[in-house]
Amino acid sequence: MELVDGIKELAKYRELLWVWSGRELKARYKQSFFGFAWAVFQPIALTLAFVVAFSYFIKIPSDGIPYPIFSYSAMLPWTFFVRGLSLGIPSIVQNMNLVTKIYLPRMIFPLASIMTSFVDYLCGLVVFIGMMIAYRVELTPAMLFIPVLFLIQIILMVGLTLGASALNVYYRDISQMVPILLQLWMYASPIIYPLSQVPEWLRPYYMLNPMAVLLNGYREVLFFNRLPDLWQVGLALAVSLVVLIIGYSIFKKVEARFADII
Amino acid sequence: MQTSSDATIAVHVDDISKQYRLGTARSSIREVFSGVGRKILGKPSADAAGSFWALRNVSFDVKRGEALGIIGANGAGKTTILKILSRITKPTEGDIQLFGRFSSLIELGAGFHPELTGRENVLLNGVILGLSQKEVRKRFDQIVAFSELERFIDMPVKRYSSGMFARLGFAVAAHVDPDIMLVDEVLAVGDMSFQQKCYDLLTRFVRSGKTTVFISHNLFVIEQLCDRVVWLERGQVKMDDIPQRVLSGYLDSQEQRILEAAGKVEAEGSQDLWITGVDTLDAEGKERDWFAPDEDIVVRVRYATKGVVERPHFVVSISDGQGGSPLIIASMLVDSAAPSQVEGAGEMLCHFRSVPLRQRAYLIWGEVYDADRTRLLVNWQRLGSFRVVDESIDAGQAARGSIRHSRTDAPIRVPYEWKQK
Repeated sequence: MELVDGIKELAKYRELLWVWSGRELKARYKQSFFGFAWAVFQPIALTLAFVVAFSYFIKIPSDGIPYPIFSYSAMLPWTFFVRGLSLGIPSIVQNMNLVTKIYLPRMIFPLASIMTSFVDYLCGLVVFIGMMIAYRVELTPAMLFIPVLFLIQIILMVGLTLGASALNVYYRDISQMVPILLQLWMYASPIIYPLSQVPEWLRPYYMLNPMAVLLNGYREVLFFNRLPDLWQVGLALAVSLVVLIIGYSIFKKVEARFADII
Repeated sequence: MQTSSDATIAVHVDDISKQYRLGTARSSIREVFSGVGRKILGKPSADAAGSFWALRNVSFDVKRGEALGIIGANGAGKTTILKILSRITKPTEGDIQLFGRFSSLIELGAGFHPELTGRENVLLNGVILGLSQKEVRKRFDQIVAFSELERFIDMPVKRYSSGMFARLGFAVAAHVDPDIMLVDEVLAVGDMSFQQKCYDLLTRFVRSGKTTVFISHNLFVIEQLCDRVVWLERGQVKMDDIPQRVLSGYLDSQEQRILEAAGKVEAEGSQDLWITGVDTLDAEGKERDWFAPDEDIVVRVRYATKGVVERPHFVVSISDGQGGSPLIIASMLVDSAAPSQVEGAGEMLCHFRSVPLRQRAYLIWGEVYDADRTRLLVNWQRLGSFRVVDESIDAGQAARGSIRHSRTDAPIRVPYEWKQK
């Protein structure tokens, strides 16, 4: 119920969310020579490093898919995830001069971070489409499932960012913890290696991680024209929704005291 | 939410209190766990001692079209009220309601991003303050014209001077066109001509029948703009009435504070001569600490010396408490009336005749120089105080502005008459 009110308020302030996200983007890339290109550099640079390290030095199997597009296909949504969280979680503290001076729905700050990361993601997507053409990845009906996976990812990101950004106002430890946790999380998800390399007995636990389901799902539909295990997708959706509800409740609970605490 | 049946109410403040924690507001994770432990064990929370009430049971209404001023000393809770009204923070207890679109001027240009240009920031800030993008674009030229920053509008605001920054901030906020305007002390920015412009705009806003809640230390502005004034003291409403009555009560209490502070003065002196006490007498030599306008005032300085002191030069002055610059001065440095020598305990009387002061509190400052008029025997300092009371002023009856003239403006009065030709 509460969540519905939140969505209503957001609808009322959607223009502000839009304008605020625009401000963040403009401010980020102003006075930088390469501008939006920076959004693409990060996943590409990491992918290149992985290509050298894991397909040239050490041979990591990639289920028969060329390693560059194999790792980039997961690196791209993962970078979106990481950027959204690492920009969003400190966003309320960073905007404290505004939080203590003007009223605007405080959700705007973390949500705008996710929006701007999405713009970065779109830039990276252009590169990915180029790779798909270069590696002759065919368009298949299974790819219609991508928006479903993407929506689950958004739900998870919003939930995590809302909850953690609110807690970060109280405990700055959170924003210190985030990079470490994300680093660990990356190794716990099929990004540099395929799911097939995860021992069979570990998989039921491994797939509790929604990002594992989603990243593996992207590969399934992109390269094998088959849907991911729908039970697992359902589980990822359930976990993400629970995270969203908890994150939103935390946010709402402490929101009223932001201005007093910061 | 429209619980108030009275449609003429624009702002309803219902018994609000606000508690703040002292010390580090942010608790560490360890503290939280110990707090939970205490709760489980039923022990009192550690917070209880470390908090204070910034506001306590404050209630008032603002009628539609009314301009309400809030005054009070620093820390009385003025800004807290404004923050609660503008939904920046919530009251610990109680409830507030605002009926209509509001805009708050708490800090000018708070939403500006330094890297973005003036133009981009105007668009952004307008939306933050509640306008749609379309509305901001429609008002854009007006806003820029008001700020007088046409030439700099495409420059990043990080290169603006603080005055330019505030001007642009005020210009945006002033054009939001709210039903209710909440204004914190923001007029004190920019140069004189811009301040006047802001003041004019606020006046126009008030005159056009919009609701305004206004916080200021500037009693002049409060009296000019407001229909009603709430006086806060230590988080509570001390008085809520028409400006004339509240301002005069407030000034009285401020004077009281000045007098109390003056009463504690312990005059220091050199080894040779020191002051043991200062008081005021009337023309008949009776001790008194209040006088009517145009009465004689005698300042009595009691001193003591060690041995003989040759030609001490006494200086006695009267100031109205604003920084101690004298309004009236009696100085032996000028009139060469220094006694040839003093020894032991004594009194120096200075008789001011028909002192033309208006009603308010005054301070006595003084110093003593040695025979050569070069070395200070007693440093320039506050020695005492008195009050001038004008029985002919009735605060309740006084017209708008008269309090200001009698209480905060020009302290000296001189006989005069008007003549029309």
